[in-house]
Order: sequence, then structure tokens, then C-alpha cells
Amino acid sequence: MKCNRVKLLLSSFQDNELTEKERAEIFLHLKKCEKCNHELEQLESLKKEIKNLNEFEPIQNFTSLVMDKINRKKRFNMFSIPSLVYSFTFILFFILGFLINVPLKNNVENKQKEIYISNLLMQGQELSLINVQDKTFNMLYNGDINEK
Amino acid sequence: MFSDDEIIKSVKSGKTQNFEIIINKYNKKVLNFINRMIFDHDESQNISQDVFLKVYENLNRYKMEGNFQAFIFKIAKNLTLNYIKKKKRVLFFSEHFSNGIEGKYFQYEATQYKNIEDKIKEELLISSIMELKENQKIALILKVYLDFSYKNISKITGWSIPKIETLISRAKNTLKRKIFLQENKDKNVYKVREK
Repeated sequence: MKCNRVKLLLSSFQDNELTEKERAEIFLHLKKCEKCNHELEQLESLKKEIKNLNEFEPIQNFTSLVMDKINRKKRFNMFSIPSLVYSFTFILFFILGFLINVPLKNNVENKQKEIYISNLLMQGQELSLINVQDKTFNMLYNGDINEK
Repeated sequence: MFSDDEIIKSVKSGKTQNFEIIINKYNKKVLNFINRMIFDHDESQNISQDVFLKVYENLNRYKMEGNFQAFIFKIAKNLTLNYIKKKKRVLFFSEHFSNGIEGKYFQYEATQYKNIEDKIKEELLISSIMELKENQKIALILKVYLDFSYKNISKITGWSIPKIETLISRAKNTLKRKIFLQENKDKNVYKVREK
């Protein structure tokens, strides 16, 4: 095995992830090659340094904090399924209300128009500007021109 | 002692309190795994709490395969990556739209050291780890700090074993180059001075 190939496999060799055959070959090479030995030494000291980085302890009430959060979530979850139903019914009512409201509103507007026009005609009649007959009223109220 | 799977079974059947055993068993490992990814003590405390919350919420997804540790660290990895992404985005905006804030990505709380040399060494190592790509960092820390096998790492990350092998090897080589080159440079300076 040549140095280049050993260098590539050295990391996996250190991590103990090679096949028996590969391990044996690298062992043989390391016995002879000082350069590769040095590389492995550096890898080992690097590993040690990373492992030796400061370890922190969890805060004192870590477990109880998490358990509190879990219990709170659990309570919230009990409401979360019906709340979906609530929101759907709300939306349904909103849509229904809108649908019902449209014809109602139209009716009111029509009524107002009728009153306005009849008032206008009455005023005209009182001032004797126009001569209104029953038929005209009929036509206006019912929109029925054929009656003429 | 009960196995993880037995404890999880009891938690699933309604004994929520048993989840405390899982938390106590793994919280230190999770905390330090996250801290080695972001080097921010306070944030890693917060994230590790979220990890266990998320683990509890996703217990239904765990398929009793005798590898609960991998399940926990999968979630820890995801949450940490989310945090890093968010933090980078925030810093990107604060760097580009306001002049006062210095662009230091992560702050590491200095701890007590026996001597200055150790401190410098550790700071060099930390800054070199922080400069690694996220994927390399994850694979390296899972292997070196937590001693997971490549197979386990593959379960946690979803990467293939050859990919993990390459990531770890590259990460080690980058760190080695930075740390030992630095040391050699220092030695050279001393040599010149001695002469």
C-alpha cells in the first residue's frame, strides 16, 4: 500500500471502520513509514483535544422545565382538536350569513326605492304636474308592462 | 434497569412521568453535542430543552427498533441546523442594514483555564471547528465526541456510509492542517528569535 492511499484511509482506520484486510495492510505500512505514523499521531491528538473540550452540565431544573412544557402542551392538545371544529363552524356561519344577507339586503333596497318613487309620484300628483293613474302604479310596483 | 424501548412503551401507554428517565439519561450528551455545534452556552440549553419536547411530541414516529439514541440525536441535529440557519439569516440582515453591529457569527463563553497556552489552543480549535461546513461538523462531532459508529451516524443523518467517511476524513484533515500548521508557524518564529 502506498502513502497516498494510506492517508486517505487513515481517518477510517482511526475510527475502527475498516475491514480486517485493510487494517492489516495499514498496520504493515505504519511499521515502515514514519511520515504516516506522524499523521496518525496528529489525528490522535486532534481527537483527544476535541474530546477534551469543556463539557457543560445541564441547568439544575432542566428536567422539570421540560416536563412542565410537556404537560402544558398536553393540556393544550386536548383543546386543539375541538378548536378546529370551532373554527370550521365559525367559518361556516360566516359564509352562511353572507349568503343569507345578500338577498335580504337587496329586498330592503328595493323597498326603499319603491317608497321613494311612490312619494315622488304622489308629490307630482299633488302639485298637479303629472297625472297618475292606477295603472301606472301597478306597472311601477309589479313591473308588469303587459297590463297596459 | 429498563431499556429505552421499555421506558418509551410505558410513556406511550400514558405514564408521562417516565419520560423524565429519558431526559436525565441523555440531556448532558444532547446539550454538549449542540454546544459543540454552535458554541453558545445559553442557546444550547434552550435548544436542548426543545429537543426533548420535540422527541416527546414525535414519539409515535419512533418504531421501537432499539436505537432511541439515534432518534434523539436526529431531532437534535435538525433543531441545531434550524437554529444556525436562522441565526445566519438574522446576522445577514443586521450586517447589511445596520452599520453598528460587528459581524461576529457566534460567541463562545470563555471558561477557566489553567494557563494561557491551553486557552489559545482551545480557541484555535473552536474557531477551526466553527469554520467547518455544517455537514462535516455534524459527522465529526457525532463520531469523535459521541463515539457513534458510521452506521449509526448514517441512521441519524440519512447519509450514506461512504459520504460520512469522506466528510469525517475531510473535517479531520482540515482541522489538522489549521491546528498543526499554526503550531509549526509559532515554532518557526521562536527558532528565528533564538538565533
